[in-house]
Amino acid sequence: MDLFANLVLGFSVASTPMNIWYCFIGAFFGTVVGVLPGIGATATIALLLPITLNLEPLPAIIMLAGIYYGSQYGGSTTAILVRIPGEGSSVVTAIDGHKMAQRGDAGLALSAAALGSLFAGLVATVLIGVFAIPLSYVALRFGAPEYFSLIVLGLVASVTLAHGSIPKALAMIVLGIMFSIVGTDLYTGTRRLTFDQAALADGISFVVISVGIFGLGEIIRNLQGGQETQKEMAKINRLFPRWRDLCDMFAPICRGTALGSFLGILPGAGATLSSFVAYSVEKRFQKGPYKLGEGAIAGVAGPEAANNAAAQTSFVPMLTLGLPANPVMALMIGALVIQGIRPGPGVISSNPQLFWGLIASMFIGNLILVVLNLPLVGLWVRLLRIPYKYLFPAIVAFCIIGVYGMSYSTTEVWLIAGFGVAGYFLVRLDFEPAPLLMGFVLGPLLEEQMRRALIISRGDPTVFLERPISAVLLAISLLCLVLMVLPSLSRKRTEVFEDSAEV
Amino acid sequence: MRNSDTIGGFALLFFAGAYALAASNLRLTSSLGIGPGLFPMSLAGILGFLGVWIVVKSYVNRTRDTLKVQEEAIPYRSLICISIGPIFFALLVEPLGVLPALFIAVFISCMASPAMTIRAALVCTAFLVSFCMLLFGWGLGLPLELFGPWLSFAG
Repeated sequence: MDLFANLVLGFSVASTPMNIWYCFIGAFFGTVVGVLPGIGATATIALLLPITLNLEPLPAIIMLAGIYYGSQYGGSTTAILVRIPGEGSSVVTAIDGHKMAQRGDAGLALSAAALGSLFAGLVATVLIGVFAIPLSYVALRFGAPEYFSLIVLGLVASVTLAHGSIPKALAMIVLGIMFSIVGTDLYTGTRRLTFDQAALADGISFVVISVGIFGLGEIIRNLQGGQETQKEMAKINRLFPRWRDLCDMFAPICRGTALGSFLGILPGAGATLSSFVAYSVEKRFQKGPYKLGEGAIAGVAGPEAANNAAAQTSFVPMLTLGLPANPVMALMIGALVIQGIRPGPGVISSNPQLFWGLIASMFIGNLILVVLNLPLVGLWVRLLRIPYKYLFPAIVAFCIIGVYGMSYSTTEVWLIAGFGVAGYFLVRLDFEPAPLLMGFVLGPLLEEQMRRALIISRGDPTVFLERPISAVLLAISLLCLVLMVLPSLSRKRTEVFEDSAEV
Repeated sequence: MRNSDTIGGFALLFFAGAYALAASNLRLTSSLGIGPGLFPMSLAGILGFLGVWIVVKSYVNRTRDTLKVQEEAIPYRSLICISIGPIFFALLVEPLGVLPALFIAVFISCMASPAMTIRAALVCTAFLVSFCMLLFGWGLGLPLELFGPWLSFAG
């Protein structure tokens, strides 16, 4: 079987000592940032992007992927022990997980989270391998008009599932595209919007935008938060679950995995959304000694499995279509492009080692994470005690030296200061910066495909509607937009997100 | 602070206008049919439309559920310190070199937090700068010029 041979290839490249080392580093850093509430996976990956420039593509992407799923693990540890969810996706875990901890079952909650994540991670990894190839075959048949419409759909869909105001999210996408086309035009060689700055001729670097907005901008916002409170910490006793506990968590884990795997592929807030959905599903299947919301093991195992599965399967559209399902995937695309690899349907055949190596590394990474998380849990908890005032200067230092070390250009350091301030005001005015990142990554591709399509059609814009696949994709995008704007539905959507915000 | 949506919408309109102005010297057509200026111009148009949408919506909402007042002072201190830090680095790195420039930049940024004392900031900065030098200079092998021409007395 093909899949088997491919996985063997993947494991042979992923299990070299160097790649395992980077996988470990990624998982380690991921857990650290997952535990620390001030920094998220997006910011960390943005900060570490400059470092990966000096690596080969495979170790670079392995490390970045490790940060991503590692942060999902780390976030749940603090959610259970101190009721501080480090990541959005572990907000639900905090409900039942912390109740369990108060009852004296902290160890059980931790191991339910870890085992759920492990199982989901392994299953989702296999799913990526199974689904990636057929999807990429479909995508390979796409011409420029189809690709253009697919990107439009991807961008629109990412707004549907993001929270907040719709016109604002759309505006952020457009803003991202606007920044992305600064620089030399590929078709005519004209310099666009560079204001005669030589440093801008190559465009604004992806790292500059992400480090500025997600690194510096976040700090300004976090410092506004003010008081840091010390929370009481639950004691950890027995880590290993009994046979009966294992039986209790098995079904929720399976349900969570299935849900998360599916939702992760869709654009939008995959991991976070799927953990909420998994929680509401578990409410219907209640069983066992404790009710959901009062410390039920299903309320930890299900959502944790779901968010980890979603974190993994969100790699599918990124690797096969070149479309990011969430901002972290947008960062991954950015990282790969800097390495000279354009993610898309061609990657599997042109770079099989990269593709299958990454998949195999997720397998290895999930195992590393269990080892890192369960025995070392005391270490992570101690990390929570580091005050933010010592943390943020470190982030600033990393931002500056990382961006400067990329090309030794002072213009880019100026720019991160500007984007940092801009990032703060965006969030303050309730504009979510994540769609901006999506627009920035997809902008050049969108324009290229549009112009290519128009050149082939000799300037006739109806080409997007004449090609059937393209027309269908555009129709779905339009439908999504209309449905979102319709008052009844948009109210329902707000309710869903308000529900989740209360938790 | 007034309705943040109104401000945000007008900010978008302003940006769209400035962007269109900056892109106005680009040709809309070329020998290939579509020129380098068409895409930027249409983006500015879409953003302008979204800006109007947000502004209008903010006025409609204002009458419906009164004012959503958001009373939060702008954190001038952290805003200034965090942005001035990188700017100082950019200004100083060529004459002074990476090490002093980074030291000054990180120290300024430390001042963003009111909880930070001068002493703690100095210690923290010294630690971070040496860590960064070790990691990026020695660990990753970036050719960083630690001391710039103004500080290199040898030549």
